[in-house]
Amino acid sequence: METSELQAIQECQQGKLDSFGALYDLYIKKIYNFIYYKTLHKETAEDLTSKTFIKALDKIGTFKIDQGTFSAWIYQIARNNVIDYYRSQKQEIDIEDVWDLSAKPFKAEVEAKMELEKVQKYIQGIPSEQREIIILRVWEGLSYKEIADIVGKNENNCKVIYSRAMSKLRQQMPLSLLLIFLLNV
Amino acid sequence: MKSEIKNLLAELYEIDPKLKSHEKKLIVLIEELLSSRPAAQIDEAFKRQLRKEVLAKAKKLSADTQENFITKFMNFNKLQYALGGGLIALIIAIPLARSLFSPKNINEQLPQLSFLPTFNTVKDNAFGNLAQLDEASPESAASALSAEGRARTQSGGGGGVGSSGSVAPRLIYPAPEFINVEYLFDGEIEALEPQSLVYKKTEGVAGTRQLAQMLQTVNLGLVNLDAARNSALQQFTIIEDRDFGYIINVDLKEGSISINENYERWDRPQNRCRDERCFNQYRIRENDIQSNSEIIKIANQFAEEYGLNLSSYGEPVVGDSWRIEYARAQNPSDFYFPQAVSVVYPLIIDGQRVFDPSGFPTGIQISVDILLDKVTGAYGLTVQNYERSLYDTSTDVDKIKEFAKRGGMYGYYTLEGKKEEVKLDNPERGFVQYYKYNQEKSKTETLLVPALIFPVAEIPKEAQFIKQNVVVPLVTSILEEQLVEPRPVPVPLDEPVILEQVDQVQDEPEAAVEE
Repeated sequence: METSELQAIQECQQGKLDSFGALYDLYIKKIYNFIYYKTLHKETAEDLTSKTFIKALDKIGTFKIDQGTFSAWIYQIARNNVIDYYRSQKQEIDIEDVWDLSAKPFKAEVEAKMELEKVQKYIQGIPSEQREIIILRVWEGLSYKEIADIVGKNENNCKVIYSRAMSKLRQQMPLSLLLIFLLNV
Repeated sequence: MKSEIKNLLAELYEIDPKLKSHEKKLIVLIEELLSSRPAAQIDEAFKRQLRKEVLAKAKKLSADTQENFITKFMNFNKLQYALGGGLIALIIAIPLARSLFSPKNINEQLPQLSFLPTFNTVKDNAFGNLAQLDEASPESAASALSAEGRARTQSGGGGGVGSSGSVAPRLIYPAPEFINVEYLFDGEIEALEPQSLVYKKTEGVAGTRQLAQMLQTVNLGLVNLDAARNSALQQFTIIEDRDFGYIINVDLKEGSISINENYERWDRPQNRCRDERCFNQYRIRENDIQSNSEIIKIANQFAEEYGLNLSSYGEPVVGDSWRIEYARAQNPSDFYFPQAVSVVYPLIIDGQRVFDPSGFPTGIQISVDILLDKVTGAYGLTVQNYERSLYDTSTDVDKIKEFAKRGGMYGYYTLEGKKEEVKLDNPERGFVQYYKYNQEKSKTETLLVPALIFPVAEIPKEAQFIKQNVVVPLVTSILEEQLVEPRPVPVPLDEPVILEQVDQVQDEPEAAVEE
């Protein structure tokens, strides 16, 4: 954890909650992106981002500095908000994110249909657990330790899941794509 | 190839080396994954608006929860209770006390006294050379290891004993054979950085002038306190006048609070024992000692009741080294169990625990009485104000392992003699307390130095003296110095001491000091 981040957390826990502004600045973009990747809908992402930061502010006194990173903690809040949001949509299928819903009508219209299709081509076919770890690692650039804290698994487990998912994606990759790449090299 | 892709490939190969044979496909895959990352553009107006809302809420919450350790501890009800049974109540009129010590006033008077760490970053190497010998060069330190240096008999401090003279067969005490313990670590040491932050503890608060001025208005009848000029309140004591109550000493100058049992109100029947039978009746047995989780529960309840803010402190650790001693005891029935056991809540700096030089976590310490199931005191409640400065730290794994082998900080080791090997487990990265005398200020300063703490894997029963943890400070100047400086080894005297010589020394102390 960065020392400035740690200091801001400690000050918040001392009651100087205006230091939360520093944490907000550090995480607003990351958390918004994370939620957007899972919803692909601007207003929904903004709403859930607001909820995430307000909840983090309310609960910062309960964050234990020695039991994990602030990054993992706030991502966990965001992740739970996303899960709660989809649950509140009363979909009967087992859902964890927008990619599983594309075949069915969904209340929150997905504005970036092209994006969704592009993403689906690669990662819809793998289990949501593997998909989440790939997103957190490749798109979010989080460490395995942070990923492990967010998804509630141990670090080695996350690494194995990640490598298996990549291996599976590699096997599923269309030959045409590989040819295009090779010709461009 | 982008470095991002290279990194992702490298870690994949680390997890599963077989994937390397599919590198081309993997590169395509990772590129595709990266390029398919949705373009999440946060709306700047939303970002600004949310920030405003979050900070407005933060401000409101701050106003609602102005309750730190001091204010919680010194809320009016508790103070009034203390005053009710204490001597101050006889002197100070309650209305005045009410106005002096209302939570609002205390908050205003003691804004500086917080027990959570604060940090002030200063320039690199700001605390000077951290080696104990400021002028020490490897050569000068090494020279202390020379044959001449080592042969020098200690002198001073009441008189040493010369090595010349005849030797009589009547020895004072046979010198024990010293066995070196070698602490071996054969694992990998990762993530060593060439520079790390060192923390120096700064002073507490100067005392509070406003409180002193208000107290000075009290008419004691004997002394006119108001005559004191430029005054500040530095210390005060609060007692709980009840059975099993506490004495709380607040030292504003040092920035520390200690809580001890109010011994006048702690009734221990064993204190009235006058014979062996009675003492044995209250002697602690192994099954009297609660489990560590029960001891921690007692400490936690106390911390909660007295509002100790432990948010910058780690999971509690019970000081139960007696268990090791007990397991090693030759005659367990003669073993004396401790009357009180300490629970330590380790201070956390940069997400890492702080250790004392012996390798035990250090921070806030709460002592629990085994027979009474009660907390007898709390210590280490000090202001945690630090300056921090970057220092060069060692990345030389061989040197770190070598220093660990010798027992780390305060290890006992000589190149000669018998050796016994002990294995070390993977180290924890933390900080170790390090004390250095500041010549200019004529005082000892406390620093927190980045360190590796290696737990001893298994303590052999037959070992003479052994540590539970081995601490290796990582600051280069400290490590280098300690690797070459002569270690305090209990070397037997070259020649045995005879009683006649001792008598002579006592009669003529001056003459006994060599050179």
